[in-house]
Amino acid sequence: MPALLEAAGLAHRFGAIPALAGVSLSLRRQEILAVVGESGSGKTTLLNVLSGRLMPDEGEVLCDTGDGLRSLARLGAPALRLLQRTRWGFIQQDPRASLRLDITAGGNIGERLMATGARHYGRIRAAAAEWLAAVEIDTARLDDLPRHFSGGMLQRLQIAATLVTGPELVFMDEPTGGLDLSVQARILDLIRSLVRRLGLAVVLVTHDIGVARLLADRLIVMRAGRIVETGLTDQVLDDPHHACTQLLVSSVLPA
Amino acid sequence: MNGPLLAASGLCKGFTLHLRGGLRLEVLRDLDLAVSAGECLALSGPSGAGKSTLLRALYGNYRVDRGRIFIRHEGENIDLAAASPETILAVRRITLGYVPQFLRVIPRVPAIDIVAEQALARGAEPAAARRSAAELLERLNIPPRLHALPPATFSGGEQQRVNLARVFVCRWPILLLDEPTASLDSASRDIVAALIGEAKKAGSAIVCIVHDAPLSVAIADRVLPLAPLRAAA
Repeated sequence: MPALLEAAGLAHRFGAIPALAGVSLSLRRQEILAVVGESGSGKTTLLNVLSGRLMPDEGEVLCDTGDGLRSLARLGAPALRLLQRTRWGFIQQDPRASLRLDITAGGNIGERLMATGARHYGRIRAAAAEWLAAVEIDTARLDDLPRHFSGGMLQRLQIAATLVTGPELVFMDEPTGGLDLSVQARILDLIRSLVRRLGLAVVLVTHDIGVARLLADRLIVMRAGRIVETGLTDQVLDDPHHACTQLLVSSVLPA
Repeated sequence: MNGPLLAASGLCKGFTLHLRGGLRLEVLRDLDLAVSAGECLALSGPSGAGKSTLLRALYGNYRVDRGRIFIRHEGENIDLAAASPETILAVRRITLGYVPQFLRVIPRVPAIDIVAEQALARGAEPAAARRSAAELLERLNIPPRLHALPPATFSGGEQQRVNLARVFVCRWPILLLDEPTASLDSASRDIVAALIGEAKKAGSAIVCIVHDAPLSVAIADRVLPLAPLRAAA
């Protein structure tokens, strides 16, 4: 099956620091790839480069835009923005960074639909209510401002606002990062069931290998901007070969 | 087509512990086995002999250092030791079932949903999947009042039966079982032996780690004894 996203020879520096060096990877449709590694290993830089929000110094990202694999760098800004708004989605650690807290929950979901051309108010409102229910927020909250939502509800709202346009690829950066454990478990379960039901491909950055084990088919372990180990999630976590992976796996506190 | 559904040849597996100064542990050396449809191979041997390592290698969970693992998957022979991640996942979805020693699940998911999951993944209709999950749980003496509870608070034996149910809810051409009756009483053990017997009758090839002599007598057609490797002289 042809890849949905491919990267070859990615390199990027911040001043003297190599944030990415010689990174190549490929992602299939409906595949969930987790990127793990300690802080500063280049995970978020990789995510930003793969999603076209940062152009790398070297190397190329290719993506399927509906008519074969095309280079992101040569897509042009308007086409890239359209891709990011329609076929792709982003779920950030801090939902406040991507939601607008001064418009209603329904407005936040509807906004992305309108950005892709939806104009019929009744249909937008119905879709917003449907997605609010899909992320298990009471639809009575449709007209409430998200500034009064809890952290877990805000994260759910961000998920709804991202998935409403039916993306095929979603980039997630520590989606359960700032949440307390009980909320984390429910959001993970929600993400897992939605991803499966909608057949999404996901690139997931996390430092939590428990999250990676739960969600990901495949795993990449990074250190100092390089991929040091890759394989099926359970292979890498149960039989880690690289020193760095062994350290990550053995550093987990048992609950 | 006859011949084994699962065949391994020349398997070698060791571990390099980088956090222990690169200490090298050899666990499997030049191991061969073959299991045909309807046959159950029991793995026996003392703790540390490499039984679970072998089972995990056969599942593609541990990556072997050398050797080949042939799996009959949808009419084709696939070398699991050299297969792509995508192929391994497809084999695990349809052909190769594995019951690990301990249940590992998402917190807060009810037992019945855990058991129904595999049937759903194969496209069963949700109500039918839950119905067969409930029937199997009841057969394994997990009463209906427990079905809606997450198994985290279950006893060891109940967790193990949920663990078995989540795999036995579907039919598998090849089944790998890691001490399926380790924490079960004799009544539960007999039920598990019956399930394994039915799987054999239906044509599954089974590899099973057994410590329990009555279970071994009940299900095993052959026994492969494993012994801990001595360091090479």
